[in-house]
Amino acid sequence: METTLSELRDGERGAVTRLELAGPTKRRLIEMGITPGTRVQAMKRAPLGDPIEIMLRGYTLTLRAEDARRIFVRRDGA
Amino acid sequence: MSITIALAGNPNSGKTTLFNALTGSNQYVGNWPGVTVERKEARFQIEGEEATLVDLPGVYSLSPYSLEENITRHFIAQHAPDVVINIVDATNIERNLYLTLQLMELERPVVVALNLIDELERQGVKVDCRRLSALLGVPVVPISAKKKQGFDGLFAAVYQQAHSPVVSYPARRYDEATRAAINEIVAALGGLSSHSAFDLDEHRAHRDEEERDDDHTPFAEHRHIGGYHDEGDRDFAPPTTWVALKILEGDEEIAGAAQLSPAQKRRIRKAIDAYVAHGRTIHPGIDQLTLVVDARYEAIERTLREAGFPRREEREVSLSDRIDRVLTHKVLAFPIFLLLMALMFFLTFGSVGSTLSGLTEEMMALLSDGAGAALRAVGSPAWIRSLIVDGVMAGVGGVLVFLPQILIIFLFMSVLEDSGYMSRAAFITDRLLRKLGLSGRSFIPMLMGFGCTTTAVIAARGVENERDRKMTILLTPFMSCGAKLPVYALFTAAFFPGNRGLCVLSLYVLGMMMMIAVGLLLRKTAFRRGDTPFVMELPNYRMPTVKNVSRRLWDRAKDFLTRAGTVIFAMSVVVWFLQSFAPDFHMVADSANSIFGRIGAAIAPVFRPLGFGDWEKSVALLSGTIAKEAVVSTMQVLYSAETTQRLGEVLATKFTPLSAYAFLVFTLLYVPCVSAIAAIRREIGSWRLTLLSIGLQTGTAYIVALIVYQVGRLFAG
Repeated sequence: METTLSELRDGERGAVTRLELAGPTKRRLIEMGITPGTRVQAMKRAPLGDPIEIMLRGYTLTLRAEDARRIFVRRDGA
Repeated sequence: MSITIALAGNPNSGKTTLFNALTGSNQYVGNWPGVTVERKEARFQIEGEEATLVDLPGVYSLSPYSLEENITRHFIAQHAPDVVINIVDATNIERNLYLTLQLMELERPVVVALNLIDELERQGVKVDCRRLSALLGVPVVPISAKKKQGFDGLFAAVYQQAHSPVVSYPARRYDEATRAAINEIVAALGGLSSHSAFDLDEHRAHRDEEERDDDHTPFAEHRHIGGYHDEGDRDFAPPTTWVALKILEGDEEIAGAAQLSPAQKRRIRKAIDAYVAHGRTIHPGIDQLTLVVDARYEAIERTLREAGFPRREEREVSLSDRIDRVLTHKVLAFPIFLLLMALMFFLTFGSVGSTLSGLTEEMMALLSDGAGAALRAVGSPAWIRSLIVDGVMAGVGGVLVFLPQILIIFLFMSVLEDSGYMSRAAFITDRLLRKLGLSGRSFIPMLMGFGCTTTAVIAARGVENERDRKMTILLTPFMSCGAKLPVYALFTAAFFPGNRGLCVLSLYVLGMMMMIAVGLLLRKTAFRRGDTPFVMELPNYRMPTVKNVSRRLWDRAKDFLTRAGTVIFAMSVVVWFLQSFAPDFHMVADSANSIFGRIGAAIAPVFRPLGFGDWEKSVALLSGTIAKEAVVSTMQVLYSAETTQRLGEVLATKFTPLSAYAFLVFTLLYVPCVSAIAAIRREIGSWRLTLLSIGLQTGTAYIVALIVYQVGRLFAG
């Protein structure tokens, strides 16, 4: 089932399907490796719930929830 | 011949450590032309040959979206360094190689320095550098920047690349559809001559010295597209394959610069459409940029697989993760953060810092007494004595007392930065600063503003994003600095003895509220959002090294001393002159008759609507621009009050409680001291923005004090 990166609970995994973003934000995120098909895992959230930390391509990255809400993923095992 | 070497790499890849380790102490720190991004250069020897190493800003890619990326891209493309050392974090190789491919696309000789190889091997991963090197087509050398291991191999590879360069064409390893699209665009651009025809499938290509150094040889012209005008003043001819790739990505800057004819544009459009259509059969809705980025990552994944790197989707729970469980814990994160900040504050502005500052002050006093006595002994004229003792030594000394505090702050910040905690601080506070259009990176410098604006403005260097950094610098002065406390103390004791704490607190809160208001205003006007997005890495925690921290402290001290010797020196002379001379250029004993005093008298009426229109008060405010404490000392002189208590009694006859509060509000908000202005000018890199800062402060101060006084009068009747 398709959901967004911000919906993944801590520890959950999935694969990126598409990014509904534009401009420099999109460019930066895909250049950091968030391309369609990439496997990602939600790691943790900041104490105030935002930003969130994800793991992909063997490293961890933090991004804001507003951006994560526009990155769609297919959740594993769903 | 001297070799020019550029050092490029991702942030947190160990670039600074490698730079310091390679070059020792022969560093020249300056700024990149026109911007305030630090430019470090150093000379050293490679196999007995002179070499210059240029440290490029840490970047993730070469897209033209951030200042740092532009600097890196322009330097490599335009200045054509002989060799590019690309430092790669072996523990994060997949993402790091993305930059590597982009550097290789610019067709300069690259040497990959695979850093932290020891850490990877500790995790049980064996790395076959020769295999990786063969696959990438450039030398790959294992190193440990921290332990200074592998440098012999690195030097040998750099020397080799400098004298018989091997340039790799990474696009030859991209997928078939991408290669086809590039080939078609290259053909549309006029193609390459037959013997050099876009060597996508050729394994390696050699270019010798002459071609590399002289782009006017016929061969070189074949490889480059003419007429590309960069922002720089000279033509720059990037490799055609690179231009084709950029056009395929949709880079409009490059497409525009290539000056395409309508026919060329049509042909290219067709190629791109076909490329995107093909891509969408696999990933519906994908665009051209994502396809090219994906092609690079796909090539990296394949390369790593073939080189025998295990694909790591899982990661064992590391020490960093365990530390993070506490430091970024939902409940504990903020108390720990505040505790650390309190400790930093206490050390800097509390006992340790003020003791050191006090010692500096005493030393300056001794020096200045000594200089005064010496000058008297040699019979120098009074005005020279006054210039040196009251002007230069007082002015420069007044700034030098900040040095110990600045060093303590930077000691703290370096440790926080090098250990990896700074990123966590940004991580947990980001949410709070979002509304202002800033990121968590700005939190610490802003907090420092409560101590000293000068220090805070310099501390803003920790904010990576240029736009955020400038905005942070503009907002920091609204945080009430420590030097204003003596003014608050004096006035609250005289006018609000029962509510001193509340009164001072109200000023601090007012300052923060104005910071937020001005921040929102700036965000809506001069600093609209939308350039660089906020993505950040949480690097592994590492033990800071004494060497790196002390180097940074030394750089900062040198920088500060240089500034004290130049800008502050000049400003002190000017201020001294204004304070010591009458408009007819006679030296005066009473500063009321000085140019400064006259100006004070002239501008006094401006402050009448604010409730403090006497010339003494204006002069006090004017001298407050030298140092905020001077507001008190000037009033002491002007009202001939020997003690602070006596001054309080005099003030009670000169102000009403309301006008006193308006005066405090003005003091809180108006233009920061010269030392802070000098810091702002230097760090923000433009007079226009410095004047904006001064205008914003003074304008806000005037308006708010006016409102306080006039509205207050309505209620007071």
